Amino acid sequence: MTAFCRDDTDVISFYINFSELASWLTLKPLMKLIEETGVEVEMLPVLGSLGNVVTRRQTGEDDPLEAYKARRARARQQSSAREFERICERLDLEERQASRHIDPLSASLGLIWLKEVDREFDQMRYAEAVFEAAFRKGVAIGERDDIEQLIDGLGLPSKGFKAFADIRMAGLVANSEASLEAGILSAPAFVLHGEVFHGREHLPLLAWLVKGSVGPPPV
Amino acid sequence: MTISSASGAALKVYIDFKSPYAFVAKDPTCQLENDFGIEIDWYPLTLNIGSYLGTAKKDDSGKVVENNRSPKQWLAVKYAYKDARRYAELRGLTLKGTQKIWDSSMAAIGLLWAKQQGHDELKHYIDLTYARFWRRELDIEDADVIVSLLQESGCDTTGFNDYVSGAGRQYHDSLQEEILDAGYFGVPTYVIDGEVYFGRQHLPRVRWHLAGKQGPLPDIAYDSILP
Repeated sequence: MTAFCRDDTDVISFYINFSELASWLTLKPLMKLIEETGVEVEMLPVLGSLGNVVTRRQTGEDDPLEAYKARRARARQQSSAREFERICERLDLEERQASRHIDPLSASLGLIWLKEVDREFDQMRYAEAVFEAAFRKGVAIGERDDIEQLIDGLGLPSKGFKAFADIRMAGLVANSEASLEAGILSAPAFVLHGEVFHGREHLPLLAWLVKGSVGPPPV
Repeated sequence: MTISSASGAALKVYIDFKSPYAFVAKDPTCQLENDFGIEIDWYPLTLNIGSYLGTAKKDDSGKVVENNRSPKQWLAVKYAYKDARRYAELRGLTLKGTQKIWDSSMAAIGLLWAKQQGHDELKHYIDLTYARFWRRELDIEDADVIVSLLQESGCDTTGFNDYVSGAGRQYHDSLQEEILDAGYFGVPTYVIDGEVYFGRQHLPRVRWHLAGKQGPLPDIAYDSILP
């Protein structure tokens, strides 16, 4: 039950990437926020991220900072590797499971399909099922047949999905690129009242905002 | 002297005065001293921002007058400032975007000097430097300005001018080499028992670690509530 009044116009756009564990880790705390506040969450799939922004010189061009950049890059890789271990711990995954390469395209199309054929469907349940299948169980989700089976398994409508996916694939790729241009640099990302938030670390602030900005803000 | 937490863990924190993220992280980081009865061991980590985010310079009106940043780098930089600013504003802090990429090494050497003088002097120096720099009231590349800050923080500055161009500079520069070799590359970085946490989003984990790692590893979050 919602314990306070919130603005009914609050809608959180949640940008999700089905190939990234960080998006998976967002689901449970976001579900908790929905349960606590009743806030509406619109899940939107993205296929890529801004990536590394470090300037690379052309081959043969002198770069006085080359050695520094290489050392810094090594330090960053070391930090990323440790964070990967922590993510595995959080998700109770072995590294071989968490390292699986996932093509998010078909799962993203599945999300768009389900939103169109059943506005009331449980987006979180679908997303959780995709991540569980892809990473924990090692089930293929890269092809449309795979997603059709997954949708079937959830008892959701799948008839017509493959034809829909053929038609909508180019649009999804274009939308994902447009999202990047519009400032959605990575997933998970959230938009509330036009403000972009990158990363699940912002969930406490989103919760504070949705709950009416009462009390001291999180920092 | 480093004072450990009840769990026996000592906390090292690496900061840079020109980082808006480190500025926003400062108060929730200092709060750890009260919450866990520790004294943080502070170190400067002087970022070479131009090497990974390109360089740019603005005039007083905010117009970009020099620029070698890619569009991707601009996106990343603009978001970083906006993100840090919204958290700062929620707490009544002023965070004005910088007009150039500052060389913060002299302010970092000031930190090392203040650290020798005592915990309270260092805390005052860190508070004053961050607050004024982000209000654009401080030229942190001016040695006289750093001397004034140190004096205002209660530090004896006798010998600082020699230190800043001699032993202090050498220590700072060698420290930066050690820091990079150790795998620390950004600020704020927290190190406890050799475990490295980069970014204030790791404060829930830092607190968990200082408390003796009771229960499962927390997830990252900007969730500190300050009194």
